[in-house]
Amino acid sequence: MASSSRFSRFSILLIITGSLLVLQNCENPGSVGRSFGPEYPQLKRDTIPVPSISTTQLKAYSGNQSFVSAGIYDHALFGRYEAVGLMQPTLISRNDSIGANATFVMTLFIDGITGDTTSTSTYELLEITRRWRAQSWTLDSLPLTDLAVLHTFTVTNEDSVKFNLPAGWYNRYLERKNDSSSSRDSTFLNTIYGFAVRGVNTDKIIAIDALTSAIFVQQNDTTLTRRAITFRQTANSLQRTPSAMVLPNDVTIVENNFNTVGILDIPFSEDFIGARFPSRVELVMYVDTLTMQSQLPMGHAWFDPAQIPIYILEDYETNFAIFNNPNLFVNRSDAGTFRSNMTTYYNSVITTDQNLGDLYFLANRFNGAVSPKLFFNHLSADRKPVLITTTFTNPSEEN
Amino acid sequence: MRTILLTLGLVLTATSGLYAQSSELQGTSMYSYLGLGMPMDYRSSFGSSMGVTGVALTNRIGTSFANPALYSSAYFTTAGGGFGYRNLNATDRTGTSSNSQADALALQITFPIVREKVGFSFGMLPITENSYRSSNLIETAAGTDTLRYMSTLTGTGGLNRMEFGMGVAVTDWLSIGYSPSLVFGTLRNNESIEFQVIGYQNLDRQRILSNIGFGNKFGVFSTFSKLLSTNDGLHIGATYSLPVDLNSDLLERDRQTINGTTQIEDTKFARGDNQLPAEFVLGVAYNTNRSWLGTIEWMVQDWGSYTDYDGITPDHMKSRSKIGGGIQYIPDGRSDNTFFNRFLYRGGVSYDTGHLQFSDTSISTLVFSAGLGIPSRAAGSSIDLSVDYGLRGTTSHDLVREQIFTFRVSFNLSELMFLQRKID
Repeated sequence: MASSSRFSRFSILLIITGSLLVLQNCENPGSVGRSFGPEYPQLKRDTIPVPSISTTQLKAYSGNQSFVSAGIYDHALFGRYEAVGLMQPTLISRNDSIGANATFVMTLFIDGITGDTTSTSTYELLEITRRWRAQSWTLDSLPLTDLAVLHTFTVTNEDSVKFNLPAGWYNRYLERKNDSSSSRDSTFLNTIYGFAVRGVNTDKIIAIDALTSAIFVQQNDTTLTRRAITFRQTANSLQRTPSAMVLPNDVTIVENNFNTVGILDIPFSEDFIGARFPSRVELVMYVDTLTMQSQLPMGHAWFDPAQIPIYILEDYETNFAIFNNPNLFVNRSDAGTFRSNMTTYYNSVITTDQNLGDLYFLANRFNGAVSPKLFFNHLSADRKPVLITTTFTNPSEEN
Repeated sequence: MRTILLTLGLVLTATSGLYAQSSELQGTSMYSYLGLGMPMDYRSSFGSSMGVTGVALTNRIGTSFANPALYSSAYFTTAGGGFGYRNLNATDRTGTSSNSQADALALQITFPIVREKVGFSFGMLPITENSYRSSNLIETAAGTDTLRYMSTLTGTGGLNRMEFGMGVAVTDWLSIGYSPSLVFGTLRNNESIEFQVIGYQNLDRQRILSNIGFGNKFGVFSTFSKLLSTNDGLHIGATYSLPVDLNSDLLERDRQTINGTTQIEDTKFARGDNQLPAEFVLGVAYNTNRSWLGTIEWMVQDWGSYTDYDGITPDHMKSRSKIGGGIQYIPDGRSDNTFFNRFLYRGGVSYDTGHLQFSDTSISTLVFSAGLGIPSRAAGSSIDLSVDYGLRGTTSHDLVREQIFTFRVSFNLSELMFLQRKID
């Protein structure tokens, strides 16, 4: 009986060992047997034209953007742009020491120019005389008039502009800085309204970097720390007078603000795309760079960043000012061609079975710079916007 | 009985799900993609090393699905099972691949109703296997870019048979048996696309064929002794399995992980029929005395009349024929009780014309087998070890030649049911 028991235990040990062996399968599969095995699914790429592109006007606030634009530029294709930028400085701490003979140097960093980079244009720094709020400022808010000119400066193609602010201004600023009353902040806001920058007979619009530009306090006393007075709020006003040029019907002007917003009419659905689970859905849009370049005289530059933002907006959202960040970006792949991976968006539409909103796009980020573009639209013969889908063929009917 | 139940429980736990993905004998082979998978020829634990299923091999201490007529000879209640380990090296004109795989073997319990007169058996065994894996890194032009993705084809599953059988000894020399069975199983073919670049969604595409049907197997076994000497015996066995009409459900589905959630879309669902073909096996065994036994067996399967899910007989399917034979030697342990005299020694060879044919080239298989039987000192139990080395196919006509190495461990645990053993 004892040997029978030993035999049973040995058998059970073998079973457990075998079970562990089962878990230790290993493979180096390779691709042997392809001649008669199942066919590999074939990659399929389809090009689906976007049914239409149109434009509309939406509301948006133009305060506290990346750039403060200023100047006038008349472009044969896009029309005449007139930009005025507003900047209000911060009030530095009462404890910050500023020496008796310090100077206040306004330093404006210019990140881009739309227009003539060879001629010299004159700009004015004006002092604003009434309170304004960046949060409620729109592009069509009326530029302030009858303002006192604090300084006049010129720009050709510089990266930055520096000039001293007049003593009258900074003495008033220091008075507010040194105010020890409890109403110090409110008094500052009701007396120091900031500056406006505008062009005088210019042929360019400069894009001033709102984050890095500042008033630098140059201390004559080397023991004192150098101070920078940044801007607590900025805003842009922009007026556009369209060109009289008649455009071909296969192109559409879109701006990088909400005055002229492009609408992509794409009925995202399984029927339209042709697959429920595509591997990729890519939007490709083309800019008519040839026409744009032909209308750009020698020496004129174009503020031309590499991304186009797309906003996904439901109908009700278009009735209000747009605060949303862009949902997608279309990246430039080569000159005039912009591509965006729409797979995630398409999947979201398919899996939620909901219309997430319409696709609105700008010519560039809504950042305060002036950068409209001419897009080929759905009427273009060979450069119309398209969706390029990557899918796999249906399963083999073998087996 | 407690040992048997414990063993059965362990095996069921260990093999849970294994029958659905892989099984006995055949290695992971691209050939298994075709038809209903690669036929898995059952071989009993003691017939395995002799290249035969064992339709003509009676064994008091071992279970066998080979011939239901043999259930009549049940003396002990016996549980049988085991594990196999396979290594398969495949070669075609494009290169080589290797796969290793461990599987569960057939699981069976046999017990006598009237000792050595009427026996009953039930168990489960795999009958076809769909088991392959092939990967290929594909580069293709996608517009101006080059798109790279790994395409992996995987086959899993197969058909299994759950069988209940009974054998009856009609006379001292003739037994008959019948085994109805439930044939079921799912064949899964999966295409997986995994991109090597960002910005593309990976995809899994599945084709799932679920089958169910009823099988019928008939067996006859006869034995004649004292033909040429006082200790010899001639044993003849045969089985016939009727074709199995399978009701099949076909499901095609795409799967994609989107935002961390797996999304599934069933792209096709349909119902149809498959047919597992008829099978006939004839075997003869002759033992000169207790020590020496030789056997030979012939098997035919009518894959030439196989119809697939679409009602079509594929051009590459043909009827197969297999012949195998081997010998067994049992040393006389009474005269010399050395270590080596405690084992049973077996060897055999089989040749299978195969059920596949491409360009007039059959996918044949030649297998050499050898093994050891380790009987327990307690009557009725044994462990059988066996190894196979096989060659299948050819590299001509863009086909695949496979070298298959298989190692198996089978066990048979027996007890006298309802009776306390008095002598160990």
